[in-house]
Amino acid sequence: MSDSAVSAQAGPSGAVVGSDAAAFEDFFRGQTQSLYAHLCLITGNRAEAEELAQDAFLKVWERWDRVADMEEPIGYLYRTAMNLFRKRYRRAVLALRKKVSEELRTDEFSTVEDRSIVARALVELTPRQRAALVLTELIGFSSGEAGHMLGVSSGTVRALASQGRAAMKQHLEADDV
Amino acid sequence: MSDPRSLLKRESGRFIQADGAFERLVRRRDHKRRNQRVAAGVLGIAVFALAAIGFVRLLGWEEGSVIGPATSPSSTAAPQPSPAPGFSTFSSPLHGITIDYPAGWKVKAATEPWGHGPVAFGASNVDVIFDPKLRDDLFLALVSEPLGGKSATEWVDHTPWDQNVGICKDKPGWGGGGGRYSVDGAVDGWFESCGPKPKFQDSNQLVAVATATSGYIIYLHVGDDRRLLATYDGDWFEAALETVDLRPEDAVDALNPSESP
Repeated sequence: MSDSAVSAQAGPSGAVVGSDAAAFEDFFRGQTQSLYAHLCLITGNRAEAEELAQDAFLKVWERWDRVADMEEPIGYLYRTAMNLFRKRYRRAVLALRKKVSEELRTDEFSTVEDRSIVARALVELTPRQRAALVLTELIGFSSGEAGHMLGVSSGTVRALASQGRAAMKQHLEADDV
Repeated sequence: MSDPRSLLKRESGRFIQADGAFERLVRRRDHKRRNQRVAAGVLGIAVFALAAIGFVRLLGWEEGSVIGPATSPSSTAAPQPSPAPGFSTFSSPLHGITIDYPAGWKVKAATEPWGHGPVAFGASNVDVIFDPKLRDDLFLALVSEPLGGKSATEWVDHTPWDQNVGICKDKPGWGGGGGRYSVDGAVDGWFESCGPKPKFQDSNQLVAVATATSGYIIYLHVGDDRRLLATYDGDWFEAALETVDLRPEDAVDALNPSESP
């Protein structure tokens, strides 16, 4: 992680060591809200974000004896969550390939209840653009780190984030935010 | 207009997780463990079925342990998220890997650990998932082995390209080129396309990847047919790779790493 923004989110669990359940619970409580909120922004769906966050934490828990000793357990958590996100996204694409009559992708951001202007702007972005924006702009991962998480090159991350920023800006200016 | 970061930060503040998240996580874990116990029972049955099939094979059935899609997905060592509609999930009982595949395909599960030999359709130590109509003209092959003292990068850079393995022998870039690739969080993998002739140089796709303890080869073989190649291309393979779950701890040979080269 290259930005202090994430480290700061660690709070008391930033110093997670050891492998007991209490340490994991501490880590969970320190990270779950921010991970959930970030996944909400990326997926545009509260239920899916909750499920992804829980699955990511479960995977971390299963490997807690190793993860707890990592320098960046939060980075591992986000990599895991992004892997799960990518799997879901690609699974959906795989399934839809079978149905040529359907659109390739449905954007679930439109299901977010009580949408704000920013949420409406996010609707305009693809999930990958949203992910690139959230990981680099909001959380503060470098484009290389975000690229690892999204399975693309750092250049692609920069391009996705740039496209996302431009689209957001255009939409927000139209709404005069 | 505010900058994107502050807008996103403000927006993320609107998403408040419901109370009791940790309790839900514990319930989810318990549920998963319960499923694992059930899966272990099913695995026992599957092993028995495999043994029975092996017996039949001894009696001369040339096909070996062919398992239809209705039974193979149940031989899981651990439950996976439900596959997409039209897809099934295969969990290798020997190689510690899970992957989704088209529901009509069949599975020929490996019956012995990979011995560093050819990753071929008929090999008994290779998990093969194939289209029953096209058989060795369209199949996925999976193998794994303990790293045996090598680093993950060393394993990825050398083992899969061994002449004995028999696929994509001349890394890098003999065929359609290659590059670093990550699968299920293992980031030092290598993606390679290759083929038997210039005209079909992208007909085979290969990913070699290693965790801290095990090396994996995931191989897609497509016969020399333009229509097949148009469907089962690199994008199709990458989509399949997105469903991969590497579970080196479930690999049978992981128990005896010293036996592997």
